[in-house]
Amino acid sequence: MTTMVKDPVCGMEVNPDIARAQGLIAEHGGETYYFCGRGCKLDFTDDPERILDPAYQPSM
Amino acid sequence: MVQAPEAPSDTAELTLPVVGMTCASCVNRIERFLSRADGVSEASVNLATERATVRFDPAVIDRSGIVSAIESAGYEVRREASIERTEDADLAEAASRAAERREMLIGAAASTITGMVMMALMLWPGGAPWPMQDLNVWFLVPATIVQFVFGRRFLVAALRGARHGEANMNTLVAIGTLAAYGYSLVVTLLPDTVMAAGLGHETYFDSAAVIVGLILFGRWLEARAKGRAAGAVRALLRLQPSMARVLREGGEREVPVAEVVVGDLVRVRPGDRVAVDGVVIDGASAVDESMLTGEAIPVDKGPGDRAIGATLNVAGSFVMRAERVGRDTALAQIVALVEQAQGSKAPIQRLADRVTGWFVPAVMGIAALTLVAWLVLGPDPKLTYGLVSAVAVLIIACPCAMGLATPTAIMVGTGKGAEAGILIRDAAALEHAQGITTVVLDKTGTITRGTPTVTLVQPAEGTDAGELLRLVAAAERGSEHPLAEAIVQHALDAGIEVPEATAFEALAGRGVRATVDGATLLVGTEAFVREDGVDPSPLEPAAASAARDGASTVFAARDGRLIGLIGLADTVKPSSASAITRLRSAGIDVWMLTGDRRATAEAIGAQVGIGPDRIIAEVLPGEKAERIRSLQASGSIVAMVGDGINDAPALAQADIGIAIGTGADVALEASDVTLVGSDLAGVATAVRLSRATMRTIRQNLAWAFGYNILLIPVAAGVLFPVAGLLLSPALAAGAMALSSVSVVANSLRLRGFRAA
Repeated sequence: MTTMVKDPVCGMEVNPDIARAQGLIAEHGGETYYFCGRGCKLDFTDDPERILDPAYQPSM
Repeated sequence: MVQAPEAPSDTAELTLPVVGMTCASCVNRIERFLSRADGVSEASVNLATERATVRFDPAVIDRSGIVSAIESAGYEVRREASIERTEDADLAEAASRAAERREMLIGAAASTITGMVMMALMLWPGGAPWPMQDLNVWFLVPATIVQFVFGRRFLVAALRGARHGEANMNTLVAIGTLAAYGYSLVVTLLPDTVMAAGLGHETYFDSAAVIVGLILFGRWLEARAKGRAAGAVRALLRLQPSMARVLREGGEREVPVAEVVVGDLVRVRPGDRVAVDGVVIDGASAVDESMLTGEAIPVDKGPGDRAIGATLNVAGSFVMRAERVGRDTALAQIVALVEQAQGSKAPIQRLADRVTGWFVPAVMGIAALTLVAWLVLGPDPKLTYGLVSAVAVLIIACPCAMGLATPTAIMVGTGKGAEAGILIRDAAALEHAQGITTVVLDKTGTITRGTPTVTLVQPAEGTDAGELLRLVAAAERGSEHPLAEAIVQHALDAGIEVPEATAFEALAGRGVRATVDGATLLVGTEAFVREDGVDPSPLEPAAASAARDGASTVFAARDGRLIGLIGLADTVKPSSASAITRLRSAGIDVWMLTGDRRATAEAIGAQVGIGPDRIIAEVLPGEKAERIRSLQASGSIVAMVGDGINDAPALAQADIGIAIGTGADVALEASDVTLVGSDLAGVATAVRLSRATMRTIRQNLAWAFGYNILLIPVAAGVLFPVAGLLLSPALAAGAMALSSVSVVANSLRLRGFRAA
């Protein structure tokens, strides 16, 4: 069983294997981030700093 | 959500179906992009219904502006699902697809033949009687036609991919053939310059043409297998009757279904399909609702009961009041679910595309490196040597056998499947099937037979079982009710001689009355026999216990005295249990999904070895696809096996939909794989076959690319310092032939696959 990871944008649990297979991943600062869908990925790549800011609240 | 002050009168509202949303962030993102667009005053997006509602000023922005705002956020707007869609539109679509397929086949044949003829002329036994320069000039026009007319789709697709920074099979084909064609063009048009650089007059027009031809042929095979995507919806729409008998202003008239409005009274005669959803207000009948519920036994209907559009009235006549029409009916909702599930299925990236995804950048890197190396290290003329070698790398890298790798394996694989009664729709189905982790089985008609059989013959005191069956079968012989047919069949199977009945009378939804051996026989519901003064109480405990196991019961009386009880239920197919065991031993998680009651589902589960923790019961017809989606969300790759119309959305939603061949047309159309028989063993075989086929495809791709990879260093000029050798057409042709033969031979090995 794959360990689930958190989508940094919406806070949903994501299966990294599935995210990878669908291209829903992004690299930033040497880290890989996984997303539940295109919206989250695009939100992240538009402005990673906004999402990674500790004050950012996942929108779910 | 952006709030507007009291909506002014010059605004319009539009609701659009949005595809691809997965979470609340998606909702926020689309709302943000929409509200940023000029002219939009309010936008609200609903994740559950996948719809965006936009209030806007039509003077500033129109529908296409709103659609492009959604698209710039990274989502698509789906064409609205419409039950009104005409067959004409479907037919026109099918005709244009057929024309495209024909075009592909003609292009494939013409290109391959052109290339073969060129090859034959160049490799004329005993040396070509024509100088190469002349051949080149003759080849120029046909080669140009192949490259830019027949091969146009690859160039266009490669360009489109390049704009998004993607490399796929089209890119590889475009680059390889353009390099071969371009180099040959230069050799043909500037023979003296080429000679001066110490190169021969050999050209690669033939390779470019053969590559275009073979890959077009592969595309044609694929396109032929598809083209049924709209079939499920079409089959569903055919269930919708076109006319309805409406009672208006005292008269009864046939009107088109589209004209039926809520509140109309509609008469449904025996054999009719119910036109719209509503409530029975008069009359009694039995209605076959299997298309919606999967339940084979017709449901009795009387005043106050709901009747659902597209279900089949099998017995009496009744009048109903229309409550839901058009897009609101249950059928329209199933259509929408199927369309939605088909649209939301995650597309897989084809294996060949995945390989080329890294192969193309690598080859382009090597080509660039080759050019630089010649410029730095090479003899004069450095630039000519460098350019020629770089182009040679691109030419040799285009594996001709790649066009054969997937289609040949799929042809052999699907052919083996067909022999074993497994019809596989397309390559994507095979790719999905190999990775299946979970199989979800519909209960009725899939694990079970889907038709009732007699499970209980309980005579009352003073009667024996054989006599009971003989009398009941005689009375029921005139009835077309499925329960009656099952009882008659059971009696005949038991070798009982069924006597003739007279004065037969069927009372819809209640029972039958007939005269057998001079006595009056009543067979029907408990209420039916009670009305005639028969006391059914001695057998009530037996009836209640049978009902708990999911059986239907029929009481029988002779001359006003109770003679017995017959129970009927749907029973498990003999092969189901072993098929489920086989799936488990292949490492697959097996679930049962049913709209039936939990107790009945668990009773069936116990017979085939599916535990209560793997049974999803009491699922509403519209919810099956939702349950599949939640299994997928937890990371499973799901195959759904079903047969009913109500299974269609779930079949379309699953990574692989497998329809049992005895099922409804719609189920077959919505599925990726069809099992011709009704045997579940085919599911395990299909998974094994897909694994074997995909393994063959992977090996084929390795062969196809392997030879070419070996020759890339030669093309780059690695052997030049040692042997003075640059890429020769003979080497290129040899590699091409060898890899093609290896690939075809490897695919043919699949013929050894055994179904059992």
